[in-house]
Amino acid sequence: MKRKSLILLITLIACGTLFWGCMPSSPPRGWSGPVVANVTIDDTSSDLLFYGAMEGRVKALDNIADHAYLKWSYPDESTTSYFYGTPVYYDGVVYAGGYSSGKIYALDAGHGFRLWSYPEEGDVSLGAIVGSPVIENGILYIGSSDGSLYAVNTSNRQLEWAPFETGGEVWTTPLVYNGVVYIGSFDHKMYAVDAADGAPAWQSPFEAGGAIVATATEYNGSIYFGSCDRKLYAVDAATGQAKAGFTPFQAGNWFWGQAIANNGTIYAASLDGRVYALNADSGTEKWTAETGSPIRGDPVLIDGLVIVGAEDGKVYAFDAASGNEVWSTMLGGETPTQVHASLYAHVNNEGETVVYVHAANQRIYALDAEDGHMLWRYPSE
Amino acid sequence: MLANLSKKNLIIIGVGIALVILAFTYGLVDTWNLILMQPMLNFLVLLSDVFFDSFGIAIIILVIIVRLLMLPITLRQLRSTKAMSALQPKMKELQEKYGKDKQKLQQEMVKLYKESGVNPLGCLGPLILQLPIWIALYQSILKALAATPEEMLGLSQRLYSAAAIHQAVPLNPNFLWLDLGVPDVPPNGYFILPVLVAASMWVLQKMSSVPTADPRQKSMNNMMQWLLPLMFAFFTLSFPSGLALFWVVSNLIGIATQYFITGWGTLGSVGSIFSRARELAAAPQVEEGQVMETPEGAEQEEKLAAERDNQQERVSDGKSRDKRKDRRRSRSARARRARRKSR
Repeated sequence: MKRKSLILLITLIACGTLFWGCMPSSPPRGWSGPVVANVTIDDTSSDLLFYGAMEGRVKALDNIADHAYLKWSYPDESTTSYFYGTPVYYDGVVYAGGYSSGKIYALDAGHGFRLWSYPEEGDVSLGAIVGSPVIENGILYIGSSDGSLYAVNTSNRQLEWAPFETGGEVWTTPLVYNGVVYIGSFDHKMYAVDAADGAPAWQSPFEAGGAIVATATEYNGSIYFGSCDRKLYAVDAATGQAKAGFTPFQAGNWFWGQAIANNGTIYAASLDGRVYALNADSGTEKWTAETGSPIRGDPVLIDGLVIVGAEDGKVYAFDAASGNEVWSTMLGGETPTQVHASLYAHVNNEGETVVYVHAANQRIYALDAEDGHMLWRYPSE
Repeated sequence: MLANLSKKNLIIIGVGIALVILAFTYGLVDTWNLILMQPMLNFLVLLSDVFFDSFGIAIIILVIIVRLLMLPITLRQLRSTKAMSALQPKMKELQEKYGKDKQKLQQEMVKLYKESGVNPLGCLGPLILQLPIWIALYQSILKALAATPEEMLGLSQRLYSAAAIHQAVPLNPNFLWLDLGVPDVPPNGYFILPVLVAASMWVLQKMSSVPTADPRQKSMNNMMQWLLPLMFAFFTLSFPSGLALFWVVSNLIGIATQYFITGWGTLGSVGSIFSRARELAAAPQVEEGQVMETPEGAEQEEKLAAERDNQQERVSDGKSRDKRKDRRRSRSARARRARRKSR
């Protein structure tokens, strides 16, 4: 009897641990960043904040200068998809790429009703979308986990050219510069595609040492991007050759967010918890600032401050010239949260520079960029 | 007091204390990750990089390596199981002898274990020791697959700093017809892996189950033999194929190891039933009590009769051994007479 009980106990423990071990550790929830746009509704214009909420909806907040309230939510009741990319506003329409649905949604910016989606058919998908869409001259460019770059004409909702195929998943947001679309892929390559016809713009793609999930940044005719091999590269935007004189910078972990370029300096945040300021010509380090926690989202540069959100739930502001910490604000109060989403900075009607953060606790925070104090949060309860 | 302990026990105590300190310092989950999961995860990623960017091959090789490293423990477990099954006839005798006196039976069984130098729970120790390693192995497979952005983010924090490891991610999930990140079910698959997992696990269970005279134990063995394969096949319908591949490879290696140590085990009886059925089908049909006329036929009859007797001996516990011997003798005599007659 004892032996039987022991065998039963061991079987139960084995099954329990099996379930524990096999449980997916991080189910998809999305980490869409916020974006603010001035929208005219019934002859009245106001600043609305758009973001992909973690419960699977696109939301718009109004009255963001004071205490924000929900303007609309798409869909109202049910959920549609998880959103990782930041929505984009273009000509009265908000565009968002769904991760689980693999569709691009075009929503009326003022009222939130669906204008159209691509692909329109219910069961057809582009593949999981992680990056944000980019719109240039009415053409929407988006990368997909099926490994392709799509160009959708927003007027006739048709593909502008045949999908450009890469050798791996595309999680980056396309960069459109000078008639060329730059897109990185899991196959370690950065591709340059002619925005007009989808033909390769370089003789051969630039090959990095690891997968590319960070969006490229253009500065002075070069594009800068980080990779999962923990290096930040600079490439000639016209030829696709490594930028002469620039030594790829090695960080302690992957680069996931987009770098910022300003005044001869490249600012890039890494999953090693550091913010790096690099010389744009040589790649040498100007300063390093430590947060101690992985930084996934894109930083913002405003009023001489480099502001980043970290996984420890804090938003940090570093002086762009010296790298000294100017302020840091813990979000979430007594229950700490995490920040994975990209930040967004905006000067409101009262002339205040506000940083908007979408935290993992599903709240939107508005912080004063000057000292980091919280102006409001939504929902407030 | 420590001086009295053997070197082996001192090492076990030392490792135990170190684990407790680590668990208190870093927490139980972090200690688990630090000691078991992360080393396996990184090795798996590295193997994938070395073996043609194929995560499928990496899983197969890692399972083989882990199986080889655990071979001494596995062998100990199998030998213990084998010793237990060797004791079964004696156990049966004891049960027949002291079946009604439970206390006496228990005493005699303990005595038998002591005399034979067998620990009845000896096979469980190595089994428990292997369990964390297997769990860490399949956790590392799941973590390495990292399909969602959140999982990729998690993976980035678990990799060692070697350049080759970072360059290898994300891993290529395609292997043969499989996408290792999703289950092998339509529309992405063909149900092949769930069937392979169930079949290989059934064979392994059948080979490794200890023959027992205890009817309760027998029914439990039978239940486990079907329950585990079906349960794992059910898991395979919803878990990533990478994990199912790990189970199939692990089962196949288990079957090979089991074969070399204990042979086909109780699976042999399944094989003999099939071969007997074939022989019976091939043999000329004779009526009850009729003796075959040719010497070959007589020999065949003698063999089949002996086998039938053996089978009856296995299934019926109530009939006396003497009666069976008499029956066998009379059949042998009839067969001998038939042989003489044909000459």
